[in-house]
Amino acid sequence: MSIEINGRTFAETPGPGQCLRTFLRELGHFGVKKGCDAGDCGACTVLLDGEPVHSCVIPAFRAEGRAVTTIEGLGSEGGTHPLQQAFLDAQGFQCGFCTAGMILTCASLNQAQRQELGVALKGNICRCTGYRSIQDAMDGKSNIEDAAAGGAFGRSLPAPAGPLVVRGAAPYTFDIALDRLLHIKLLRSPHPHARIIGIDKAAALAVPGVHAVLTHEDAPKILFSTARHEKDWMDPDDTRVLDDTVRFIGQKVAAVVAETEAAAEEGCRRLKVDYDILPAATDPALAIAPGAPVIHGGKTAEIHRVSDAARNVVAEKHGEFGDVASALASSAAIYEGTFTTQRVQHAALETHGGLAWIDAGGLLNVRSSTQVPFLIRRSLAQIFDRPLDQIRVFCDRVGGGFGGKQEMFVEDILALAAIATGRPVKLEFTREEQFIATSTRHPMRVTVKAGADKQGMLTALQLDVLSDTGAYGNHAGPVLFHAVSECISVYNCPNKKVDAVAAYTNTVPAGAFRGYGLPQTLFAVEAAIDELARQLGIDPFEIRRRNIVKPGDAMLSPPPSQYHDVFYGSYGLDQCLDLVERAMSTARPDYGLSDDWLVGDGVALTMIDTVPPAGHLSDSTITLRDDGGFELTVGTAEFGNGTSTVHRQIAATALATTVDRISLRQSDTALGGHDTGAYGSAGTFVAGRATQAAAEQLADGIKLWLRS
Amino acid sequence: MDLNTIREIARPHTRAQLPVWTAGDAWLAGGTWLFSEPQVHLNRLIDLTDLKWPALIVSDNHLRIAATCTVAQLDALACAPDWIAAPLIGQCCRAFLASFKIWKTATVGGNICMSLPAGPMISLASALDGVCTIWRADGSEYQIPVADFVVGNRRNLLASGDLLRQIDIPLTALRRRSVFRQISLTPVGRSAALLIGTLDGDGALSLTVTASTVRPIKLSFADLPGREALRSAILQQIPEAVYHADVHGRPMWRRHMTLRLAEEIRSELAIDP
Repeated sequence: MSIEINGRTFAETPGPGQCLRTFLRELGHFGVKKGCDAGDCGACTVLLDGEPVHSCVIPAFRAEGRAVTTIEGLGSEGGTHPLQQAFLDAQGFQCGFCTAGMILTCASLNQAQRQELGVALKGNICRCTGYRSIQDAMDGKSNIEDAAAGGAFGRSLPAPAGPLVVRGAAPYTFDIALDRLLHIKLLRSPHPHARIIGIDKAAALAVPGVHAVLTHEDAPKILFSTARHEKDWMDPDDTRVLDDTVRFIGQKVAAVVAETEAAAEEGCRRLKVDYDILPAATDPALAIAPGAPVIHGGKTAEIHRVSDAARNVVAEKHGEFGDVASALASSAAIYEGTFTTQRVQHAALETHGGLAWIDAGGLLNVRSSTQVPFLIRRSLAQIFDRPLDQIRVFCDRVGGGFGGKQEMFVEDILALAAIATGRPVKLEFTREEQFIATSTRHPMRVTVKAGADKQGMLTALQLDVLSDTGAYGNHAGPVLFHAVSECISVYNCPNKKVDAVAAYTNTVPAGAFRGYGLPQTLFAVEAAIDELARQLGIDPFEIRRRNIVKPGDAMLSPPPSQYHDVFYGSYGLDQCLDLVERAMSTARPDYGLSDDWLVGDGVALTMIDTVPPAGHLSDSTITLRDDGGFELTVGTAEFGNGTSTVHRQIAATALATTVDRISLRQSDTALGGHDTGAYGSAGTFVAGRATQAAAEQLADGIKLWLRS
Repeated sequence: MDLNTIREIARPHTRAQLPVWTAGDAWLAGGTWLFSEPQVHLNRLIDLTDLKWPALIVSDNHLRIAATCTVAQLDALACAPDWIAAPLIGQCCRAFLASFKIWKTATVGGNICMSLPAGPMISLASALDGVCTIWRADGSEYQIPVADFVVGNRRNLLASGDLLRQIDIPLTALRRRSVFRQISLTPVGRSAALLIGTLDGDGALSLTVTASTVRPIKLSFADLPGREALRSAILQQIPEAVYHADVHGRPMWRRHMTLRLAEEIRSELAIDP
């Protein structure tokens, strides 16, 4: 067949059921992204004879004799299309994974569609920006500032990868072609709880192109957690690469490694698995009740860090100071309420996945969509009993994380398959796999009790939390502990009590998610504060002003934290409340609603520690190059969080130069040092601090050298 | 997404060339749904493109919409000035959950054959008394109103190997006064209720309820009913079990919206233009 792509003619013929998206990528056009692969998200948008289409739902054979424009071909002769420039000026992107499709769509809109941008862009999902900066790009607004030498800090500077992002040239995880590549597909459990009695691989291995079928028999026996933290003791060891027991619908049972995704899929369909189906518990309250099926029987607090496996309790926290019950009994106003929060998926546009290969020197290379390359390497070293220097884990640009990639969901299987086959391997999750088999926000049931005296001073605060961690305990404890911490420690109150339990259930595991437990509980706490204010006739701003911690006040949540590393860096909570109150007291926007609409406004606050507790580490290296520029090497990853911008700003400021003189290398264990990872703002507050220290040392060194 | 089990694309040019229907076959029109989900039970797609059915034909009595007419082609149709119901076309096209980019490929016939409660081409064709022509696998054909063709959530009267050829809309229907109402739980979201009322020259009201119900429901009134008469007709003629239940709206809310939107339509049509 003949197809014209960006002005060049190709003669390749697609498979009969192949979609245009994968055909274009096979021909090297990596700017065409996979978000949903179902025609909804628009990341794969291309122009077909000048008209924008979602290439994932266009049969490739229909492009015969037609002209396709991908993002790589939008600007004439490698130049920049005006809309690409507009997206750069407005910085209309964060992770940038949607940007190619967004720009191609925006470039095709007529004036009427531009007037109703929300409607015109409903087929383009941006998970990061909230569309405001995209609207700015369409309005021709600039969101970037200049900075003189030494003045970068605090300025709105553009993301260094921007020019590559808008041209579709920034390499994301899967935007790489490897020779002799094999593909992995996973067979997933149809049962919420079952023991695997046997797996018959024969029919799968007979599929042409299938190289290997990996099951629990091939997997190391070692238990670990998919959660990645600087300290391994934060999570229970309850997971295997491939287990002989499945604990949720969607858990991986076997991996088929084949020449093509099609052969790997066919291999999965031909696997015969014999299950002994076990009773399941899917409701957290029932799971911790007597008589419930035990999900992680035999695991202990001492060895596996599972609090009480017999009760399906993976982590818990109980404590009280003062006397909440008697304080509530004598309070002028009391409130009690129970709130439940639902399961939520991160929905990063780039799905989980990666590639792995063993190079000529025996080094295991893993390139994945991760927030934590160094911690993945450490985990792989433990699981596969390999020295750290025989493993390299790295990421290029990552298409969104939101906490969902502070986990190891693919790298273990990639390593296992690369070692087993000796070939480069690739595993790219489908959107469905993202939903059924990665992680979610922890659903929680939160009961709050609160009391206040007549002046609105809090007398008692009590939280009773039941968190559903799903089938595995990744992030179960830390999320739970965080959930019952800052949301109440931001208030002074003499009597506080906490009972918190994280329960195993036979459902998809929950994990790290932006806010890390706080959004679930702060809603309950803030609702209680509001209700107390209402009962007492006190303004909701005022009741908060009276109760918030002031500089120097101890920030307390029971039982007293084992960490003593939280202190006031600066204090602005009082000003924050004033600013919000002032903004809300100015004229309210006219929504044009009829009188039968009830319109209200409300206020809530919370506090979040700037860095996760218990010690996090990052190395930065900076060198002065012969050409007078600087080379900055950091471990932290870029997935739209903006740390690449921040690190250059920090270094340029310390070195009294401009950011264009700082070239950044990042997120690759081969570059040396260590990095905790990019979560809980550690990329800025931990790694950024390292960059600051390194740059200041270098600046001192240069000054000394100049003086000598 | 790639449909890796597909081994062959059949591309017939005439009805005589349509291959014998076998298990594992699927008709391929726009493909926007077919390629949006795994289809591991399929191994051959029969592409309807090369049949080259004219997308839209206006005759003395009918607007003939080929099943393969894209939503964008229908939306771009230049309508006669006396087709005062023509705004319904644009309104229904904009009631798609899908992006305008999908309209360029998605077909009218595909939307009707998907038979989702929120299928806006079902709403449009039902309200305008559209009639399906079905090519049977045995070579015969028959006609059936669109409103009767769709019988439930993702259920219709197509038998294995049957093919929807076209939808004929009487021009008389396009000359009726019409009022459109639609609501979703989210802005520009999937329709949770989509109602269309039309009034003919004799003052008879035809009210078509879609999206809130699992299949299109048509209510006819010889004259424009009063508020209460309309309400009780809806309550009597649409059993509670017919209201659709999914994440896009609960049945009680859908019924409430059906009653409310119907009354809005009635009041608007009660005013002389």
